Amino acid sequence: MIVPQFMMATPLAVAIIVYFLRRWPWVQAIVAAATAAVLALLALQIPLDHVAVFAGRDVAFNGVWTVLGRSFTFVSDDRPALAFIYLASMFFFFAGAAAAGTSRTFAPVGLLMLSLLAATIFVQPFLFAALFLEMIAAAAALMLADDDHPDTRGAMRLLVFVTLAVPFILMAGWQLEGVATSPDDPTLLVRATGLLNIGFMILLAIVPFHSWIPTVADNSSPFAAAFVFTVVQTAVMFFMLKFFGQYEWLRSNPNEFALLRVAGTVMVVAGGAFAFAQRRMGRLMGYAVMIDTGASLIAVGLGTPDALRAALLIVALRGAGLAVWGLGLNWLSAHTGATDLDDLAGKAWQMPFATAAVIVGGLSLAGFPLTAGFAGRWALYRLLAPGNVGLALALLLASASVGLASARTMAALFRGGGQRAEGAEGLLANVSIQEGPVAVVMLAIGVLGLLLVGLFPQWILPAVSTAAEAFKVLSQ
Amino acid sequence: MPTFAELLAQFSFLASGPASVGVLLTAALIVIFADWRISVLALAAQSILAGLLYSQILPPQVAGVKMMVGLLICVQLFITARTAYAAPPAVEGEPVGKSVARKDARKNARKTLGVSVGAPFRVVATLMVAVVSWQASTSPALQLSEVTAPVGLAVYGLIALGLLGLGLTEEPLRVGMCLITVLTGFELYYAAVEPALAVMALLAVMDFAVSLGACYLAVVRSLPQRSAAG
Repeated sequence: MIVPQFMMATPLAVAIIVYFLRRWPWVQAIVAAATAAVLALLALQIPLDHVAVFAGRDVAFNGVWTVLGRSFTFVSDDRPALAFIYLASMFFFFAGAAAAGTSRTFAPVGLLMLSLLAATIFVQPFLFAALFLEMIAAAAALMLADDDHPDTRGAMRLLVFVTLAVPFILMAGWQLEGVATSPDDPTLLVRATGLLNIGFMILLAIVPFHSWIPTVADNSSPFAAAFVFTVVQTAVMFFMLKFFGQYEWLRSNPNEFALLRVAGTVMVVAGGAFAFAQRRMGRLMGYAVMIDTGASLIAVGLGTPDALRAALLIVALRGAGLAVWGLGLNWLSAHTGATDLDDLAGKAWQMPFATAAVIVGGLSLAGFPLTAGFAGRWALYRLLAPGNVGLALALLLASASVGLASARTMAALFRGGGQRAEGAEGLLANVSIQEGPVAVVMLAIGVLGLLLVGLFPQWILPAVSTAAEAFKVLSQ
Repeated sequence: MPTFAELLAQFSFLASGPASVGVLLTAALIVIFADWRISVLALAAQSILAGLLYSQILPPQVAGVKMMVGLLICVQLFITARTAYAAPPAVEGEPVGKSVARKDARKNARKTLGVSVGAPFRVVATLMVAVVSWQASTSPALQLSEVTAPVGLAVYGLIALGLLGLGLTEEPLRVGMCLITVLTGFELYYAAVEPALAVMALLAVMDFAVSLGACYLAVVRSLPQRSAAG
């Protein structure tokens, strides 16, 4: 069995099957989530370049698939990244059916994206991953715009920016091939570094290439936007870390790490400056994502093993926070037709679980204590405090900006709903839950999950440490 | 029947200066005109001319495949544009031309036909960008040594005009055409430095993906107008 071929073809085949099941969203969700779960298990456990007994027969598990002179190679270091992407997708697929308003193409397109994401991780030379990232952006368009979300600006901008990043990455690769033949020519390295920096600035949506993030969050289904922010941005982050891991000249250049810190700070400051004034919850989500991305870039830019672990922790917990926030916001917007705070006034009394998901998810993305996002932020604050107090303060202020916006959201959602509450009985009289039982269960699981990880972050730390092992050369 | 290589040989007199000037003209038409018919036709012409330029860099068969990919993308765009911008069908029993919906649709269609709003600005900007591209392609410091001068002009021109177009529109189908124009410019150069078959195939898939994304977004964007009109 050729493992990369299997990992890429399976989601694609299931995507086609799931597409024809779109009249039955629950069947779609279960099949897609089960596929992602099986793939996650395989990503962690499948033996590579070994013969193993499978279904009573000896099967050779080959980690390399060669196509037209290029190869797709699955190595052990890829396991954590793949497992994270599959597990995050599993939650999204399963919860997607409960999140009212999710397009019925969500699961098939999500599976297609999983296939392409696997290709970004496997392809060798890995700079060709940029081409697959571009295909992912095109596939994301199918998920981000639908009949209920006909404003296409966000999806279009994502497609444009990722497409414009591809030439820079490919040209950098060409320059690096030149380095192999003329190692003494420094101009090739300088050019490659410049091209890579521009390419990654665009791919990571660093200011001024960030405009698609708040626009996607505002115009698209919040749940689909959360999926794209989680899965696509994680793949881009791993792609960048792979570059640093592969090229010694890149990771030995202190200017590159300084540049990452600067880029991260710019993201944090820009996100923080716009977040607190937002009255549209979608845009708030977008700016919170910008701040979190900035935080992870700052962590990578510190260039120490602990900082790398903190960066991966932030990335992993961002997915959790976004999924819950997206689920809650999707429910609210689908049942009220609004994401503006003024239009959502008092909705907490009818949709308390969705409200809780939006608030806890938002606070988690802000890195608020006792929520999942706090663990990564706290680790980063501790690393920044000794020598980079300014950066720590900037991050803290930006987080406070999202926290403040979340507090305003909470105030708006609880405002003026029905009669004035007179004591506990009067308060309960205002409540008339409109969420279905399935949605209540999914939203409650999400909120409890975020709070539990916030209380016991040690549950996920071993997995993050294992993932960081794959990039240990970065901090040597 | 002549093979593709023989056809290319017959048109080899076009495969240099005329083809590179031609692709610039087609890119300029895409930027200036709002009529989707003109734009799609210009993109199709651009694909054919780019195919001729590819024949200077790649084996004729591969250049032919690149040309076919470009033309298939144009077919995809044409079908989408017809779906997205077509006037709604006449209501049964209603006198022809009297339907309010059809009138509105035609009015909207007129707005998108011909020269777009701000045409003088677009023409001037296009001319300026074309001149700068020509200057860049002839400047020794910026000359692309891996390709001939006409191909260099096409590379600079397509990328610059495509970017100009991207800056002037948010309409998905036009954005898609401008992105394809930028990518054609880039691929003309990249084919010279990385002519591997796998890379060519991946780039072709990428072009299709961009076009598919743009077409889907164009259809989704037109849904509210079409349901209001229909």
